[in-house]
Amino acid sequence: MSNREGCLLRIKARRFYESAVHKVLFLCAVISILAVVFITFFIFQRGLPLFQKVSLWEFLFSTYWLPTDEANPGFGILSFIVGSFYVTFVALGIGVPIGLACAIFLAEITEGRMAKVLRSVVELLAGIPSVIYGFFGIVVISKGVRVFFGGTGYCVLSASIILAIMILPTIINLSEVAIRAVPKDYKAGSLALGATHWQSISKVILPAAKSGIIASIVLGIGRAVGETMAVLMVAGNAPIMPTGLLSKVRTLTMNIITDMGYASGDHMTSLFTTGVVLFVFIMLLNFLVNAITKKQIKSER
Amino acid sequence: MKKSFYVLPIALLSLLVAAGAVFAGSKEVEGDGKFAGDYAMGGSTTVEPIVVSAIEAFAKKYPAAKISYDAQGSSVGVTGVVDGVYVLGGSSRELKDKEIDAGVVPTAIALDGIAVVVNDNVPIDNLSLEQVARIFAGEIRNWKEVSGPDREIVVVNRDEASGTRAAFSELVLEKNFGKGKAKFIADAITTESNGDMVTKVGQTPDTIGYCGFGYIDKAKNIGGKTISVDGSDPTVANVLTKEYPVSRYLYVVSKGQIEPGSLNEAFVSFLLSDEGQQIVEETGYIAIK
Repeated sequence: MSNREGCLLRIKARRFYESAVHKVLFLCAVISILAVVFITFFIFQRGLPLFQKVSLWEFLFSTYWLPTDEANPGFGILSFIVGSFYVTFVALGIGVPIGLACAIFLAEITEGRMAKVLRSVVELLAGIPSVIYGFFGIVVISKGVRVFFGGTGYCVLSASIILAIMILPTIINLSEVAIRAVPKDYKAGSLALGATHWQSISKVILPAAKSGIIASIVLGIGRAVGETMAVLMVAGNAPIMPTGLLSKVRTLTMNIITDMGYASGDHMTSLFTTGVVLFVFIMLLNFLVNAITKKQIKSER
Repeated sequence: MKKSFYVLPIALLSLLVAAGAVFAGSKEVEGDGKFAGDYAMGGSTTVEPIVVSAIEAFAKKYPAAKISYDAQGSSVGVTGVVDGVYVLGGSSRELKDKEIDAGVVPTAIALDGIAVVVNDNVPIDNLSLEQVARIFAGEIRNWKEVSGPDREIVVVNRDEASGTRAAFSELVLEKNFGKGKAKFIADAITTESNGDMVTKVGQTPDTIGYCGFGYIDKAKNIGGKTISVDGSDPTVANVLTKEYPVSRYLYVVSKGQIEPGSLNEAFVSFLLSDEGQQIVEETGYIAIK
């Protein structure tokens, strides 16, 4: 065998291994895509048949939920849709200002050890299991709400406070990245024009980081809408339309988990349909994030 | 460099093989004891203390049988038995016609009362059955209507999977309003288990709820108390004389008749033995033999 042939063989073998590795990696990528496809397919396949019995309008816009009633079953989830959004937006009202302030502090004000400690604490916050948040909610937050605001303590406000804490890591991390991504020249220019540091932050840096910050908020909404366990433990779980901050509330996710174990027939289907509604909301939110970040990339160019 | 090309596929392959071995292994039976294997039971949270204690005692006789009990509510137990998820289910309510048609067979293992519990801050010791029914139906919304203080009543209810809820509905609400006319107030804190129920009643002022007798001690430990109904205290003695109005049987349910020689038969006959019935009493319920 000549030297040249041996060399060619080695090149061929290398190409073969290279392409084999590519194929394995591709297979893994396909698995995650397939997972999404299958989840979507089966949730819709199990959920959609409900509309043969209940109209879409009734399902989405009726507040009458009594699926186990034999004579006159009710499948209206409006209360839970409203509940989900009510809880989520109050949580944003509490969590976004705090999270944004924390992100500004991390990106612009502090450095060194303080920043390190703060960052690892935020990471820890993201890693705490939601059932632990729920325990904390029952012991501390419901009690606090009951003492300071009255009512039972199992209400929209308690759930929102828990969710506000839970979405902090999402908002802090992504907003900090967005703020750091603002070109240094902007800040330098602003300072050179005689603006104070806070003026530069509020008038120049934040507007420039706007789309990144909005994306972080939308992802926070996604986290809050999808959260189940923590809110289940403090929201009261009554299947009624929430009437105020101190009213008991049931969200879409709570509705699924409460009935999942024993439901059968149309009742079970209606839980899948609730899942479809939740799924569609989360998909819309993801599209929104994509649209916002795309816009940002375009405007940066 | 070349070596690393092998590493990924080989690692993946060995993982697959290992996983296969593990899954295959779990099917195999360990030891040679009677009833060797894994058995899943589940259902009523009221029945849970009895079955869990019974499983511990049963394990001493048949160490090879590994039994678990998953307390998620009676309806979960019955559905689980129909679907074959559980070999036996626990139920704290009567079976529905639909479930009997599906082949579910109940075996009574104990008698239990349902105690009405209130938070310690409610200065009331007795309510009539009618008052209790009207409170849970939402007709009475303030404690002053039952000669208490002028504060709103906070109703704590169970989720719909609960057999205690079904039994309470039948024994209290339907008895007062008539069959099919009983509806719980929707504006109530909904809880997932007897434990969750007594915790929330104990920790929230102005609440009223209900629980199986086995949870009375826990309720008292965390800030709740029981009240008498129609002047009768929730005690075993009062249930036996039928003086206490709210009592029901507790069941284990199986799909089809229990087969002779099966683990189900051994376990159920253990529950009904002197030893099993003693466990029933130790856990706060009422023996039926």
